[in-house]
Amino acid sequence: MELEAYVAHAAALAGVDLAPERARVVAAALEPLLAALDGLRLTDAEPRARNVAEDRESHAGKHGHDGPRAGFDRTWC
Amino acid sequence: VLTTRPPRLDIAAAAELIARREVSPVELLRNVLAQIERLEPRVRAFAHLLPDQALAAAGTAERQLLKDTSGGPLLGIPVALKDLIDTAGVPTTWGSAAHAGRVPTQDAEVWRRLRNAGAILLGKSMTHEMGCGTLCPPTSNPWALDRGPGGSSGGSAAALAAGLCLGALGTDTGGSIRIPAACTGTVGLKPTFGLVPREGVMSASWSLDHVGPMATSVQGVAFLLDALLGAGAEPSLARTALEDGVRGLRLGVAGGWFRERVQPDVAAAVDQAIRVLTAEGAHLVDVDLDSPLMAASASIGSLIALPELALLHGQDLRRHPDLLGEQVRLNLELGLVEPATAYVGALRARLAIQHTLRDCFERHQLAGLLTPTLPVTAARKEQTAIDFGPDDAESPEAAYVRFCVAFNLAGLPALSLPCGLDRRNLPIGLQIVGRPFADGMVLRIGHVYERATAWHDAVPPVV
Repeated sequence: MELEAYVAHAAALAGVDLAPERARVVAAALEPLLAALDGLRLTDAEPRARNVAEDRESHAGKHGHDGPRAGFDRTWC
Repeated sequence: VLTTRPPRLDIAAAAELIARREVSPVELLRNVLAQIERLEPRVRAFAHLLPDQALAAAGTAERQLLKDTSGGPLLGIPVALKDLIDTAGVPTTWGSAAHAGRVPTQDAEVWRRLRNAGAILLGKSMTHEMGCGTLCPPTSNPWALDRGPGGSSGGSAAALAAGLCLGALGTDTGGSIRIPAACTGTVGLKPTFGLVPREGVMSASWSLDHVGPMATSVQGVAFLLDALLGAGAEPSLARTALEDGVRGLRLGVAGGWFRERVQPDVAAAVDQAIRVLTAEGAHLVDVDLDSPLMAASASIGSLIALPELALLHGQDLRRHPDLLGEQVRLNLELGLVEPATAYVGALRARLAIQHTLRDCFERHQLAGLLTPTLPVTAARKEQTAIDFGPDDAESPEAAYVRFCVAFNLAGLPALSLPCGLDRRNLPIGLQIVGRPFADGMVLRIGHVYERATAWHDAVPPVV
């Protein structure tokens, strides 16, 4: 399915009818955002994600909760 | 007394004058109201002005001062609150026709804390509709009325620059405090994520929103932050921590992507600021951050913020799309249709950004990181593209957020303060980023820079 058709379909499922020209505008704005994310090849971030899980476990052990944000350890202040 | 003072009084100076009873809260407020009468028709910084209510509050502050010298640290200081911040009984319409007539019944926690410290509410300042943009029409930049003040907290910044208030609050989801601070030569702090309460403030994105103080000096911002942190804020940032200097501190200078596509006057001003901090005893370290990741930060921020916005405000699109501005409508539509995998992928990319920044601070043992706040100065209101070279143009909105969003994603404290004027006499902003919850250190570095320079005293020609 082309992005424009996907946009119109997804909007309809969310209760919003988009005219074809409007779906084109939304698709044109969405496409570069998705492309930027694709360009990061996020599998490369896997080791960092594991580190965050370790941090969270460590923080929870010390403070009994996840802290202000996962991976955002007050001990790093 | 005030006629002998500068046209724009800083919070710290005003608080001292009031405490010494050299200026009364009513006298100070009348001076500011006269400035508003003269300049507000051209600047249009306010969505709602409350002169009568403010005068009554100033009279109360004055009586309190006559009875008792132990008023709050902000006693009699007139402030503006961005029109996303709830104030009981006062219209808070989020800059949106879709929310015209909205009058909250309760105060936001941040306003309750400022009021308890003695601040006086002067009015609600203009915002880009629902905080969803970086331009803030119809407000004008006091430095050049044909230019915008940046946004979305543009009304707060423009009011400060023009001397229409002494302190202000803004919100920052992707740079919305720092962008207008840089465009108007004022000072704005995006605090550490979660440090300042957001209860009673319109949320655009619960994982990226920050509420923060804005003023005409770093010390003024510290006064406001002290009050925002409430009674538990010890020691006082404004009175103690700022004075420790930067001798021996290691400060990173962000290179690579953070120095590319930067207007020459901006680059030169930031280089000069680095020399000033070196002369003050800081040890400057060139650091290279992951450029592809940082370059994607604005898109990552959008992919997180848009669905969160749509979840919170999607009903506006279903009920009255005709009342929404184009930017808010498009943002809501994008948020509704964005694939779940993109949101989750962006959350994962945010972790990579957090860890890249943490690794940088730890590896180089940094107390702070320096970048330009913006690669450019304020654009003309009708301007749609900024040229960086042949076949290289960018919209003002995209240029404004470029160096800001990564620090929303990481939740780090980030301060913008003025560090120069370009060849068109437009302000340039320096960004100082700190470790999580090291907001005091960021202010300390900024205060040292400010003491050594006079850029924060520069006043727009219109004033």
